[in-house]
Amino acid sequence: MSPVFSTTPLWIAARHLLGVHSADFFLRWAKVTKGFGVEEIHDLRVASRRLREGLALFEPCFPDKELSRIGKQVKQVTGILGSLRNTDESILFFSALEPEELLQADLEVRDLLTHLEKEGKAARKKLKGDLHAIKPGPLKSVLSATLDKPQLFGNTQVDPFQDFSLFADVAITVREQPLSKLLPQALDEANINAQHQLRIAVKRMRYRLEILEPLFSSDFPELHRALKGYQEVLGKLHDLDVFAQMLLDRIPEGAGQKSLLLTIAAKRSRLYASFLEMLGSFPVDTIGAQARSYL
Amino acid sequence: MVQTAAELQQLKGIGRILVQRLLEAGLDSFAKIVQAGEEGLKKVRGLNPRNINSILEQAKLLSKASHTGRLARVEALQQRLSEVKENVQSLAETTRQRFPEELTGKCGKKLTSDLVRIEDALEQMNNGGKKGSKRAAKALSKAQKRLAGLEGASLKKVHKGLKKARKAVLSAPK
Repeated sequence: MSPVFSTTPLWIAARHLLGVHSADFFLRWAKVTKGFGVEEIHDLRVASRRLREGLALFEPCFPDKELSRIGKQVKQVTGILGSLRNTDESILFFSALEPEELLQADLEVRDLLTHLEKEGKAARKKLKGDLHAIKPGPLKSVLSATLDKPQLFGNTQVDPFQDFSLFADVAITVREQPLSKLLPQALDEANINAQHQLRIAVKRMRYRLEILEPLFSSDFPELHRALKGYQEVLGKLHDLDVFAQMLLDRIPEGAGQKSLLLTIAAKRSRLYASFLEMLGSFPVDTIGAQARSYL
Repeated sequence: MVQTAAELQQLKGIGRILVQRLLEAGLDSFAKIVQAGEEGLKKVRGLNPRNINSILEQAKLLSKASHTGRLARVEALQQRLSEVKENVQSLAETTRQRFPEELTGKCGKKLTSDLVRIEDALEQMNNGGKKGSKRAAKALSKAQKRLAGLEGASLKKVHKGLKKARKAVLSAPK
């Protein structure tokens, strides 16, 4: 297939890019079903998210919310993979705690790890069953049939013949707005909900820009690195919040729980400082404008 | 690129019989003859050893010319492909502007289906490379003829024209 250019008509670019990302998604799905490896599961999860972003992006080019229906099925796959990821991350975090960080909570953490490992095994088993229950074939057929039916005439939402770069400009603005809106709230260190929402907004912006990548100049990798950096830091902050809640829910109150919560709070503080540092060097709310300037 | 028997006979000193023997030895192109060199040609029964150097020189020149010709053909094909793409896009756009009401239903769906199939066929041609470029060029030229003059035509004629253009591009080698 030929690459997409800024002057490519939107409907052609939409079909091409959705074709590329859905092929990637199904390829990774096939790889997961072969061995259920951790890396493969992670890659499929990312591919499913990227495809969902693509489906949302190009939804106006296709009739009657067909892509949104397909998106729901893809979301099911993302969901199936998610529960295993949470358990794996928790095991990784608690087993990597240093002895001086564990202090009086050694026994409790060991107990928690045993439970988490059991849950991990059960989650892996469930994932295999759930993923086998969804057949990629029918989804692939529906997607391919939908891509053959772009809404070229009578489309009131978007001009399917416009230059792809014009559409991309607006599409980036849409994902840029939540970033600017959430940033002031996320600057309050205690506002973990705003930081979590900001993380989701960053993730969506990242996937959208990855889809639009064929339009960008050679400066894009730097911007992409910055976005990935934000996603990582905000992701780790969120993970720590989940672990803290896990301690509150699953470890009995006492000195052990308290010391572990303090350890997590200290880690969070350091991470938050690096988030602020990143804001100083590449403000997250300017990423959209920067990306648009590369078009 | 494989040469026909007639093309190989352009080599002075190579007649009908020797062409057959070259082909039997797997030397079916000027480039392969050059690659086989003196040693390779010596193995071809009935080939006068005194002609070998001259045949190699001629094959070198003809191979170069054939390569340049092929490149020119591929470039011309790419050019024509983008012209047809532009024609199709512009026709689709003007048709949409001229018949906004008529194209909302079944008629619009049919036209969309034709446009999608034309676009896919053009894309396949683009990815097909050099193979069958002569036939592809012919198909594109036919499609261009079918699309010509449709910008101001009635919806029925536009539909017919697109259908014929679709058939033309689908007939091109994949």
